[in-house]
Amino acid sequence: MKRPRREEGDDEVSVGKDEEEAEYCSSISCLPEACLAHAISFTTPMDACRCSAVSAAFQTAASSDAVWEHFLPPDYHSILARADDPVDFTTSKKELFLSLAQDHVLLDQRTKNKRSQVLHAIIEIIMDNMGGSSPVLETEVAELVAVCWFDLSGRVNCRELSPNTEYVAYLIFKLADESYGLDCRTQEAYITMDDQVVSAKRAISLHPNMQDTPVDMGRSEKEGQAEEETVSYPRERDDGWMEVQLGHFYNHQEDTGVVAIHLYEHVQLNWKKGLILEGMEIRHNIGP
Amino acid sequence: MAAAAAEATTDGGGKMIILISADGKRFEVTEAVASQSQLISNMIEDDCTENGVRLPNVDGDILTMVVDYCNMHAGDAAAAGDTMKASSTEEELKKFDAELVQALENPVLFKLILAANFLNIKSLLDMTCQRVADMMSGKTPEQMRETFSIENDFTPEEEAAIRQENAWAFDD
Repeated sequence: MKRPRREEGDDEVSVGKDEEEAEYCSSISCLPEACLAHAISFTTPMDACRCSAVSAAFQTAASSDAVWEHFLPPDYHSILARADDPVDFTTSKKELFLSLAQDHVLLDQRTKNKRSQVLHAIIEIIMDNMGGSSPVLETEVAELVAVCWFDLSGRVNCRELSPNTEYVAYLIFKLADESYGLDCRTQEAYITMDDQVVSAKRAISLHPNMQDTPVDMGRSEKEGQAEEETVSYPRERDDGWMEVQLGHFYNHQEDTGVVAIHLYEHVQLNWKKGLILEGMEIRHNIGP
Repeated sequence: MAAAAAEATTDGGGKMIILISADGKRFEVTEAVASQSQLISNMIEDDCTENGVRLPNVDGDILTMVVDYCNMHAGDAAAAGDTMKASSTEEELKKFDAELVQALENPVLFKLILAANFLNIKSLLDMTCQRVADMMSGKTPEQMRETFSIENDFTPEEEAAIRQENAWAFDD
């Protein structure tokens, strides 16, 4: 008993289906797939994957391109068009997202003009598991486009460093104009040498300390290990980049291993954008 | 909001439209209010709203909410016109939206989503779907089934396979 658009003797326009279909809809399973997918697209990749295991209808909606397209950065197409290795766009958006989340993509061919003073540690941006999508590495500068958590590490062979010398490690970075989600002091950093922790875990802030005058942590912390409560705040450098101290270590003459500097955010899992990384820098500690 | 069967008249330049719910309730709204629904906006363009618009899959209670919402939000849409309605401030709107969406019980929430989807009112659809998303967030599949009263229609093997495929989302 579909109503015609116009009925004889009754000039009301009628749109939509019969009453019965709507009357008794009172559960989420009455929602069309597109509506359910729309709702799921407002959650996170992790929630969406969990939705897949709820029911068949949830699974269909939660795996749909509509959901995962929403999790990808809005301009992912143009970003990935510049990838050095072609990105496969023929897969579902979920597969694309997860493959990007497991690996980073190099764009615009990395140049090799390393500056001698700065150790451009190899930055591995690990985002397996959840997290986000496409950290963009451009000509030695990486920008996190959209992630929930990140895990950065830089490595250097001890033999490339001067023996019997105290080193301080810094993260050199900027915050993009439209950065967000990076204002918590919950990032943590530590340094290992051949898997032995040589610089204890400390909290890192990516925003300068607004309450007090900026403290040069490089100097003030030299006396002892960073206390657990101490937060490293960044300071602005003359070249426009910011640097924040991640820790320090002593390179003994006999050390031959690999120093690994770690920085990660696993606590605040909100979306983050706009961390531009130049690299990590390891400098002689020339503090007093 | 339920208006008596009134003739579609012009009022201060704003044409009135009558919406009729599944259970026969009639709502008289201005074109500016009604055209927040893309569906009705298209109908206005096609000039087929003269004698009222029947919405047989939206019942009266839900249409009351939709009309309230559209009246409240007409400010943005009708800002250009010389409407006499004081356009609501952004704060009032936020408060109104928050109260509306918080008060919704599950069945009503889903009906409102269906109505927003059918009438194609994007802001209302986003807001109601966001509410569902909030109810999903951070929950295990079991908790979601409970929240939404959903039956698990997977075989144990199927469910295990899905969990395996998405293993990273399940380790806490």
